[in-house]
Amino acid sequence: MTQSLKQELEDTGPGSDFKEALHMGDEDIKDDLTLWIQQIAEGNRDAFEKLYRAYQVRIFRFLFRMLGETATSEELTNDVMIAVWKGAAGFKGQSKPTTWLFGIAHHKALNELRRMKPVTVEVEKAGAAVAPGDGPEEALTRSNLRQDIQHALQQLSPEHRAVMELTFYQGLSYQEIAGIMQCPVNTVKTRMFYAKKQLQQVLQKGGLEGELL
Amino acid sequence: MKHSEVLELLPWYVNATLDEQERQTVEAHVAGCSECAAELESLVAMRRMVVSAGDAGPVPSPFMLNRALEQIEEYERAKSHQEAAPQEATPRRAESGFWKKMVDWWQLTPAFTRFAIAAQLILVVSLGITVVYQGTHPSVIYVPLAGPSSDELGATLAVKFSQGATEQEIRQALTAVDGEIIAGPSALDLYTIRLKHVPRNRTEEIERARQTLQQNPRVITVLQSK
Repeated sequence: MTQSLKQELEDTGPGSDFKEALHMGDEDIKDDLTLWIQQIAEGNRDAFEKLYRAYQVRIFRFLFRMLGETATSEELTNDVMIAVWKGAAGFKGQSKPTTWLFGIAHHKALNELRRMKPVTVEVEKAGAAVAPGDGPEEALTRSNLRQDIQHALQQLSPEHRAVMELTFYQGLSYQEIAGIMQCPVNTVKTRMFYAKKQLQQVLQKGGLEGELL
Repeated sequence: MKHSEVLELLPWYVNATLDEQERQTVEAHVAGCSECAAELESLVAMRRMVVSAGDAGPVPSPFMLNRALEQIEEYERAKSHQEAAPQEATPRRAESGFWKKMVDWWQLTPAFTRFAIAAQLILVVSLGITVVYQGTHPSVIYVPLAGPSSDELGATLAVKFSQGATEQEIRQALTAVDGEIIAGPSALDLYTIRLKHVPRNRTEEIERARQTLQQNPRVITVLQSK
Protein backbone atom coordinates (compact mmCIF):
# COMPACT_ATOMS: atom_id res chain seq x y z
CA MET A 1 0.00 0.00 0.00
CA THR A 2 1.34 3.41 -0.92
CA GLN A 3 2.12 6.00 1.74
CA SER A 4 -0.33 8.48 0.17
CA LEU A 5 -3.15 5.93 0.33
CA LYS A 6 -2.41 5.22 3.99
CA GLN A 7 -2.42 8.93 4.69
CA GLU A 8 -5.78 9.37 2.94
CA LEU A 9 -7.32 6.57 4.94
CA GLU A 10 -6.11 8.16 8.16
CA ASP A 11 -7.22 11.66 7.14
CA THR A 12 -10.70 10.64 6.11
CA GLY A 13 -11.67 8.09 8.72
CA PRO A 14 -15.31 7.05 9.01
CA GLY A 15 -17.65 9.76 10.05
CA SER A 16 -14.77 12.18 10.60
CA ASP A 17 -16.97 15.19 9.82
CA PHE A 18 -19.38 14.29 12.61
CA LYS A 19 -16.60 13.60 15.06
CA GLU A 20 -15.01 16.93 14.29
CA ALA A 21 -18.33 18.65 14.79
CA LEU A 22 -18.68 17.06 18.17
CA HIS A 23 -14.98 17.33 19.05
CA MET A 24 -14.82 13.71 20.04
CA GLY A 25 -13.58 10.35 18.78
CA ASP A 26 -15.74 7.54 17.43
CA GLU A 27 -15.51 5.41 20.57
CA ASP A 28 -16.54 8.41 22.66
CA ILE A 29 -19.70 8.83 20.58
CA LYS A 30 -20.60 5.15 20.90
CA ASP A 31 -20.00 5.16 24.67
CA ASP A 32 -22.12 8.26 25.04
CA LEU A 33 -24.86 6.74 22.92
CA THR A 34 -25.11 3.77 25.29
CA LEU A 35 -25.25 6.11 28.27
CA TRP A 36 -27.83 8.38 26.64
CA ILE A 37 -30.07 5.43 25.81
CA GLN A 38 -29.89 4.26 29.43
CA GLN A 39 -30.76 7.74 30.66
CA ILE A 40 -33.57 8.10 28.12
CA ALA A 41 -35.03 4.84 29.45
CA GLU A 42 -35.33 6.66 32.80
CA GLY A 43 -37.14 9.56 31.12
CA ASN A 44 -34.16 11.93 30.93
CA ARG A 45 -35.00 14.64 28.38
CA ASP A 46 -31.48 16.15 28.46
CA ALA A 47 -30.03 12.82 27.33
CA PHE A 48 -32.59 12.75 24.54
CA GLU A 49 -31.57 16.22 23.38
CA LYS A 50 -27.90 15.21 23.40
CA LEU A 51 -28.58 12.06 21.39
CA TYR A 52 -30.79 14.02 19.02
CA ARG A 53 -28.15 16.68 18.37
CA ALA A 54 -25.41 14.07 17.94
CA TYR A 55 -27.29 11.81 15.54
CA GLN A 56 -29.90 13.99 13.83
CA VAL A 57 -27.69 14.77 10.82
CA ARG A 58 -26.39 11.21 10.45
CA ILE A 59 -29.84 9.68 10.59
CA PHE A 60 -31.28 12.37 8.35
CA ARG A 61 -28.56 11.89 5.72
CA PHE A 62 -28.99 8.14 5.75
CA LEU A 63 -32.74 8.59 5.25
CA PHE A 64 -32.23 11.26 2.62
CA ARG A 65 -29.88 8.97 0.71
CA MET A 66 -32.47 6.21 0.90
CA LEU A 67 -35.54 8.32 0.11
CA GLY A 68 -34.29 11.37 -1.77
CA GLU A 69 -36.80 13.75 -0.12
CA THR A 70 -35.90 16.36 2.45
CA ALA A 71 -39.28 16.78 4.16
CA THR A 72 -39.97 13.06 4.42
CA SER A 73 -36.45 12.41 5.67
CA GLU A 74 -36.89 15.10 8.34
CA GLU A 75 -40.19 13.63 9.46
CA LEU A 76 -38.76 10.13 9.59
CA THR A 77 -35.69 11.34 11.49
CA ASN A 78 -38.06 12.57 14.18
CA ASP A 79 -39.96 9.29 14.03
CA VAL A 80 -36.71 7.41 14.62
CA MET A 81 -35.88 9.63 17.61
CA ILE A 82 -39.36 9.20 19.09
CA ALA A 83 -39.01 5.44 18.59
CA VAL A 84 -35.75 5.65 20.56
CA TRP A 85 -37.56 7.47 23.37
CA LYS A 86 -40.34 4.90 23.45
CA GLY A 87 -38.08 1.87 23.04
CA ALA A 88 -35.06 2.85 25.16
CA ALA A 89 -36.30 0.85 28.16
CA GLY A 90 -36.53 -2.24 25.97
CA PHE A 91 -32.97 -1.88 24.63
CA LYS A 92 -30.88 -4.28 26.68
CA GLY A 93 -27.69 -4.08 24.66
CA GLN A 94 -28.44 -7.15 22.53
CA SER A 95 -26.77 -5.25 19.70
CA LYS A 96 -24.55 -2.18 19.45
CA PRO A 97 -26.52 1.02 20.05
CA THR A 98 -25.63 2.30 16.56
CA THR A 99 -26.97 -0.92 15.08
CA TRP A 100 -30.21 -0.43 16.98
CA LEU A 101 -30.49 3.23 15.99
CA PHE A 102 -29.76 2.70 12.30
CA GLY A 103 -31.85 -0.47 12.34
CA ILE A 104 -34.88 1.63 13.27
CA ALA A 105 -34.01 4.16 10.56
CA HIS A 106 -33.49 1.44 7.94
CA HIS A 107 -36.80 -0.18 8.83
CA LYS A 108 -38.64 3.11 8.55
CA ALA A 109 -36.93 3.92 5.26
CA LEU A 110 -37.99 0.59 3.74
CA ASN A 111 -41.57 1.09 4.92
CA GLU A 112 -41.60 4.55 3.40
CA LEU A 113 -40.12 3.27 0.13
CA ARG A 114 -42.92 0.71 -0.13
CA ARG A 115 -45.43 3.50 0.34
CA MET A 116 -43.74 6.03 -1.92
CA LYS A 117 -43.69 6.41 -5.66
CA PRO A 118 -40.32 5.71 -7.31
CA VAL A 119 -37.62 7.83 -5.75
CA THR A 120 -37.06 11.26 -7.21
CA VAL A 121 -33.94 12.93 -5.92
CA GLU A 122 -33.81 16.55 -5.05
CA VAL A 123 -30.55 16.75 -6.96
CA GLU A 124 -30.52 20.53 -7.07
CA LYS A 125 -30.24 20.61 -3.29
CA ALA A 126 -28.16 17.48 -3.09
CA GLY A 127 -25.37 18.67 -5.32
CA ALA A 128 -25.52 22.41 -4.87
CA ALA A 129 -23.26 22.79 -1.85
CA VAL A 130 -20.13 24.74 -2.59
CA ALA A 131 -16.90 23.92 -0.84
CA PRO A 132 -15.26 26.84 0.92
CA GLY A 133 -12.48 28.34 -1.16
CA ASP A 134 -13.94 27.27 -4.52
CA GLY A 135 -13.79 29.74 -7.36
CA PRO A 136 -16.89 30.08 -9.62
CA GLU A 137 -15.64 27.56 -12.20
CA GLU A 138 -14.42 25.07 -9.62
CA ALA A 139 -17.67 25.40 -7.74
CA LEU A 140 -19.68 24.70 -10.89
CA THR A 141 -17.57 21.67 -11.79
CA ARG A 142 -17.78 20.33 -8.24
CA SER A 143 -21.51 20.93 -8.12
CA ASN A 144 -22.11 19.09 -11.41
CA LEU A 145 -19.91 16.23 -10.32
CA ARG A 146 -21.79 15.87 -7.04
CA GLN A 147 -25.08 15.87 -8.89
CA ASP A 148 -23.79 13.14 -11.19
CA ILE A 149 -22.55 11.07 -8.26
CA GLN A 150 -25.81 11.62 -6.43
CA HIS A 151 -27.64 10.44 -9.53
CA ALA A 152 -25.39 7.40 -9.81
CA LEU A 153 -26.00 6.44 -6.18
CA GLN A 154 -29.71 6.89 -6.65
CA GLN A 155 -29.65 4.36 -9.49
CA LEU A 156 -28.77 1.61 -6.98
CA SER A 157 -31.43 -0.56 -5.40
CA PRO A 158 -32.39 0.41 -1.81
CA GLU A 159 -30.41 -2.56 -0.42
CA HIS A 160 -27.27 -1.69 -2.38
CA ARG A 161 -27.64 1.99 -1.58
CA ALA A 162 -28.01 1.19 2.12
CA VAL A 163 -24.85 -0.94 2.19
CA MET A 164 -22.88 1.72 0.31
CA GLU A 165 -24.15 4.48 2.58
CA LEU A 166 -23.70 2.60 5.85
CA THR A 167 -20.18 1.51 4.90
CA PHE A 168 -18.70 4.59 3.33
CA TYR A 169 -20.70 7.48 4.78
CA GLN A 170 -21.68 6.15 8.18
CA GLY A 171 -18.45 4.17 8.64
CA LEU A 172 -20.05 1.05 10.10
CA SER A 173 -18.59 -2.46 10.21
CA TYR A 174 -20.07 -5.24 8.08
CA GLN A 175 -21.30 -6.95 11.27
CA GLU A 176 -23.17 -3.80 12.29
CA ILE A 177 -24.65 -3.44 8.80
CA ALA A 178 -25.82 -7.06 8.92
CA GLY A 179 -27.55 -6.25 12.23
CA ILE A 180 -29.15 -3.11 10.81
CA MET A 181 -30.38 -4.80 7.65
CA GLN A 182 -31.31 -8.01 9.47
CA CYS A 183 -29.37 -10.25 7.10
CA PRO A 184 -26.29 -12.51 7.26
CA VAL A 185 -22.84 -10.88 6.98
CA ASN A 186 -22.22 -12.73 3.71
CA THR A 187 -25.28 -11.03 2.23
CA VAL A 188 -23.81 -7.66 3.21
CA LYS A 189 -20.55 -8.55 1.43
CA THR A 190 -22.42 -9.75 -1.63
CA ARG A 191 -24.54 -6.61 -1.73
CA MET A 192 -21.43 -4.48 -1.47
CA PHE A 193 -19.85 -6.41 -4.36
CA TYR A 194 -22.84 -5.76 -6.62
CA ALA A 195 -23.32 -2.17 -5.41
CA LYS A 196 -19.69 -1.43 -6.24
CA LYS A 197 -19.98 -3.02 -9.65
CA GLN A 198 -23.22 -1.22 -10.44
CA LEU A 199 -21.90 2.13 -9.30
CA GLN A 200 -18.80 1.67 -11.43
CA GLN A 201 -20.99 0.87 -14.45
CA VAL A 202 -23.23 3.88 -13.89
CA LEU A 203 -20.24 6.18 -13.51
CA GLN A 204 -18.68 4.64 -16.62
CA LYS A 205 -21.82 5.36 -18.62
CA GLY A 206 -21.70 8.95 -17.43
CA GLY A 207 -18.03 9.23 -18.35
CA LEU A 208 -17.07 9.55 -14.67
CA GLU A 209 -15.07 6.35 -14.27
CA GLY A 210 -11.95 8.49 -13.90
CA GLU A 211 -13.30 9.59 -10.53
CA LEU A 212 -12.55 6.13 -9.22
CA LEU A 213 -8.96 6.13 -10.35
CA MET B 1 -7.34 -16.08 3.94
CA LYS B 2 -8.17 -16.53 0.24
CA HIS B 3 -7.79 -13.75 -2.30
CA SER B 4 -11.58 -13.55 -2.79
CA GLU B 5 -12.15 -13.22 0.96
CA VAL B 6 -9.67 -10.37 1.18
CA LEU B 7 -11.33 -8.70 -1.78
CA GLU B 8 -14.67 -8.85 0.03
CA LEU B 9 -13.23 -7.25 3.16
CA LEU B 10 -11.58 -4.30 1.41
CA PRO B 11 -14.53 -1.85 1.75
CA TRP B 12 -14.35 -2.27 5.52
CA TYR B 13 -10.60 -1.99 5.50
CA VAL B 14 -11.17 1.38 3.85
CA ASN B 15 -13.64 2.48 6.53
CA ALA B 16 -11.31 1.14 9.24
CA THR B 17 -13.81 -1.14 10.96
CA LEU B 18 -12.02 -4.49 10.56
CA ASP B 19 -10.71 -6.10 13.72
CA GLU B 20 -6.96 -6.14 14.27
CA GLN B 21 -6.42 -9.65 12.92
CA GLU B 22 -8.44 -9.03 9.76
CA ARG B 23 -6.68 -5.71 9.21
CA GLN B 24 -3.23 -7.30 9.42
CA THR B 25 -4.25 -10.15 7.10
CA VAL B 26 -5.63 -7.71 4.53
CA GLU B 27 -2.55 -5.48 4.68
CA ALA B 28 -0.21 -8.45 4.26
CA HIS B 29 -2.20 -9.70 1.26
CA VAL B 30 -2.58 -6.32 -0.44
CA ALA B 31 1.17 -5.73 -0.19
CA GLY B 32 1.75 -8.65 -2.56
CA CYS B 33 -1.41 -8.53 -4.72
CA SER B 34 -1.66 -5.94 -7.45
CA GLU B 35 -5.38 -6.65 -8.11
CA CYS B 36 -6.30 -6.02 -4.47
CA ALA B 37 -4.09 -2.93 -4.37
CA ALA B 38 -5.88 -1.51 -7.43
CA GLU B 39 -9.28 -2.39 -5.93
CA LEU B 40 -8.27 -0.68 -2.71
CA GLU B 41 -7.40 2.54 -4.51
CA SER B 42 -10.71 2.40 -6.37
CA LEU B 43 -12.61 1.89 -3.09
CA VAL B 44 -10.86 4.82 -1.45
CA ALA B 45 -11.98 6.99 -4.37
CA MET B 46 -15.48 5.56 -4.14
CA ARG B 47 -15.64 6.32 -0.45
CA ARG B 48 -14.46 9.87 -1.07
CA MET B 49 -17.21 10.28 -3.65
CA VAL B 50 -19.94 8.91 -1.40
CA VAL B 51 -18.84 11.09 1.52
CA SER B 52 -18.61 14.12 -0.72
CA ALA B 53 -22.10 13.52 -2.14
CA GLY B 54 -23.49 12.94 1.37
CA ASP B 55 -21.92 16.07 2.81
CA ALA B 56 -23.28 18.10 -0.07
CA GLY B 57 -26.84 17.02 0.69
CA PRO B 58 -29.38 19.13 2.55
CA VAL B 59 -29.26 19.43 6.32
CA PRO B 60 -32.29 18.91 8.54
CA SER B 61 -34.01 21.85 10.15
CA PRO B 62 -32.75 22.55 13.68
CA PHE B 63 -36.36 23.24 14.68
CA MET B 64 -37.16 19.56 14.29
CA LEU B 65 -35.76 18.98 17.78
CA ASN B 66 -38.48 21.18 19.29
CA ARG B 67 -41.11 19.20 17.44
CA ALA B 68 -39.61 15.96 18.69
CA LEU B 69 -39.67 17.27 22.27
CA GLU B 70 -43.31 18.31 21.87
CA GLN B 71 -44.15 14.85 20.53
CA ILE B 72 -42.44 13.30 23.54
CA GLU B 73 -44.47 15.48 25.91
CA GLU B 74 -47.68 14.47 24.16
CA TYR B 75 -46.68 10.81 24.30
CA GLU B 76 -45.83 11.02 28.01
CA ARG B 77 -49.08 12.84 28.80
CA ALA B 78 -51.10 10.20 26.96
CA LYS B 79 -49.15 7.43 28.68
CA SER B 80 -49.63 8.83 32.19
CA HIS B 81 -53.33 9.42 31.45
CA GLN B 82 -53.67 5.81 30.30
CA GLU B 83 -51.86 4.54 33.39
CA ALA B 84 -53.98 6.67 35.74
CA ALA B 85 -57.31 5.88 34.10
CA PRO B 86 -57.49 2.15 34.91
CA GLN B 87 -56.77 2.79 38.62
CA GLU B 88 -59.75 5.16 38.92
CA ALA B 89 -62.14 3.19 36.84
CA THR B 90 -61.16 -0.42 37.47
CA PRO B 91 -64.06 -1.35 39.82
CA ARG B 92 -66.68 0.03 37.46
CA ARG B 93 -64.93 -0.98 34.25
CA ALA B 94 -65.50 -4.68 34.80
CA GLU B 95 -69.23 -4.05 35.16
CA SER B 96 -69.84 -1.23 32.77
CA GLY B 97 -67.41 -2.27 30.06
CA PHE B 98 -69.49 -5.22 28.96
CA TRP B 99 -72.80 -3.40 29.15
CA LYS B 100 -71.41 -0.38 27.39
CA LYS B 101 -70.24 -2.61 24.56
CA MET B 102 -73.62 -4.32 24.44
CA VAL B 103 -75.51 -1.01 24.42
CA ASP B 104 -73.23 0.38 21.70
CA TRP B 105 -73.69 -2.75 19.64
CA TRP B 106 -77.47 -2.68 20.18
CA GLN B 107 -77.68 0.93 19.07
CA LEU B 108 -75.73 0.19 15.92
CA THR B 109 -77.98 -2.76 15.02
CA PRO B 110 -80.81 -2.09 12.47
CA ALA B 111 -84.36 -1.89 13.87
CA PHE B 112 -85.62 -5.04 12.11
CA THR B 113 -82.69 -7.07 13.40
CA ARG B 114 -83.33 -5.73 16.91
CA PHE B 115 -86.98 -6.85 16.66
CA ALA B 116 -85.99 -10.32 15.41
CA ILE B 117 -83.42 -10.73 18.17
CA ALA B 118 -85.94 -9.62 20.82
CA ALA B 119 -88.60 -12.06 19.51
CA GLN B 120 -86.12 -14.92 19.52
CA LEU B 121 -85.03 -14.02 23.00
CA ILE B 122 -88.63 -14.06 24.28
CA LEU B 123 -89.24 -17.44 22.61
CA VAL B 124 -86.14 -18.96 24.13
CA VAL B 125 -87.03 -17.64 27.60
CA SER B 126 -90.61 -18.98 27.30
CA LEU B 127 -89.38 -22.42 26.31
CA GLY B 128 -86.96 -22.37 29.20
CA ILE B 129 -89.72 -21.50 31.66
CA THR B 130 -91.96 -24.27 30.27
CA VAL B 131 -89.25 -26.87 30.59
CA VAL B 132 -88.44 -25.82 34.15
CA TYR B 133 -92.16 -25.73 35.10
CA GLN B 134 -92.73 -29.20 33.74
CA GLY B 135 -89.74 -30.50 35.60
CA THR B 136 -91.00 -29.15 38.91
CA HIS B 137 -94.67 -30.16 38.36
CA PRO B 138 -94.69 -33.89 37.48
CA SER B 139 -98.45 -34.18 38.16
CA VAL B 140 -99.20 -32.34 34.96
CA ILE B 141 -99.71 -35.03 32.37
CA TYR B 142 -100.13 -34.24 28.74
CA VAL B 143 -102.06 -36.76 26.69
CA PRO B 144 -101.85 -36.60 22.92
CA LEU B 145 -105.11 -36.36 20.99
CA ALA B 146 -104.46 -39.81 19.51
CA GLY B 147 -104.78 -41.29 22.98
CA PRO B 148 -102.25 -42.66 25.34
CA SER B 149 -99.66 -45.11 24.13
CA SER B 150 -100.36 -48.67 25.23
CA ASP B 151 -96.82 -49.03 26.44
CA GLU B 152 -97.47 -46.53 29.16
CA LEU B 153 -100.65 -48.18 30.50
CA GLY B 154 -101.15 -50.65 33.24
CA ALA B 155 -102.63 -54.14 32.71
CA THR B 156 -106.08 -54.40 31.19
CA LEU B 157 -109.03 -56.69 31.78
CA ALA B 158 -112.26 -57.23 29.83
CA VAL B 159 -115.27 -57.13 32.12
CA LYS B 160 -118.94 -57.88 31.52
CA PHE B 161 -121.34 -56.38 34.03
CA SER B 162 -124.84 -57.73 34.67
CA GLN B 163 -127.74 -56.03 32.90
CA GLY B 164 -129.11 -54.33 36.03
CA ALA B 165 -125.80 -53.00 37.33
CA THR B 166 -126.09 -49.31 38.21
CA GLU B 167 -123.44 -46.74 37.58
CA GLN B 168 -122.67 -46.59 41.29
CA GLU B 169 -122.20 -50.38 41.50
CA ILE B 170 -119.90 -50.34 38.49
CA ARG B 171 -117.91 -47.48 40.06
CA GLN B 172 -117.59 -49.44 43.32
CA ALA B 173 -116.35 -52.50 41.42
CA LEU B 174 -113.76 -50.39 39.61
CA THR B 175 -112.64 -48.61 42.78
CA ALA B 176 -111.99 -51.97 44.43
CA VAL B 177 -109.26 -52.73 41.87
CA ASP B 178 -108.25 -49.08 41.24
CA GLY B 179 -109.33 -49.44 37.65
CA GLU B 180 -110.95 -47.29 35.00
CA ILE B 181 -112.95 -47.97 31.87
CA ILE B 182 -110.89 -47.08 28.84
CA ALA B 183 -113.11 -48.68 26.16
CA GLY B 184 -116.44 -50.40 25.62
CA PRO B 185 -118.99 -51.67 25.82
CA SER B 186 -118.18 -53.91 22.87
CA ALA B 187 -120.69 -55.96 20.89
CA LEU B 188 -120.42 -58.58 23.62
CA ASP B 189 -121.06 -55.94 26.36
CA LEU B 190 -117.41 -56.11 27.42
CA TYR B 191 -115.73 -53.08 28.96
CA THR B 192 -111.97 -52.73 28.82
CA ILE B 193 -110.64 -51.77 32.22
CA ARG B 194 -107.20 -50.47 32.92
CA LEU B 195 -105.65 -51.29 36.24
CA LYS B 196 -103.97 -47.93 36.91
CA HIS B 197 -101.14 -49.12 39.10
CA VAL B 198 -100.57 -52.67 37.90
CA PRO B 199 -97.90 -53.13 35.26
CA ARG B 200 -98.59 -55.59 32.43
CA ASN B 201 -95.91 -58.02 33.50
CA ARG B 202 -97.22 -58.45 37.07
CA THR B 203 -99.41 -61.52 36.42
CA GLU B 204 -100.07 -62.25 40.10
CA GLU B 205 -101.46 -58.80 40.77
CA ILE B 206 -103.50 -58.97 37.60
CA GLU B 207 -104.93 -62.30 38.68
CA ARG B 208 -105.75 -60.92 42.14
CA ALA B 209 -107.57 -57.97 40.56
CA ARG B 210 -109.42 -60.35 38.25
CA GLN B 211 -110.59 -62.48 41.22
CA THR B 212 -111.66 -59.35 43.13
CA LEU B 213 -113.80 -58.29 40.21
CA GLN B 214 -115.09 -61.82 39.69
CA GLN B 215 -116.31 -61.90 43.31
CA ASN B 216 -118.43 -58.80 42.70
CA PRO B 217 -122.07 -59.96 42.24
CA ARG B 218 -122.60 -57.41 39.47
CA VAL B 219 -119.75 -58.81 37.40
CA ILE B 220 -120.66 -61.65 35.12
CA THR B 221 -117.30 -62.40 33.66
CA VAL B 222 -113.71 -61.11 33.71
CA LEU B 223 -111.25 -61.92 30.95
CA GLN B 224 -107.59 -61.00 30.79
CA SER B 225 -106.87 -58.85 27.74
CA LYS B 226 -104.04 -59.62 25.35
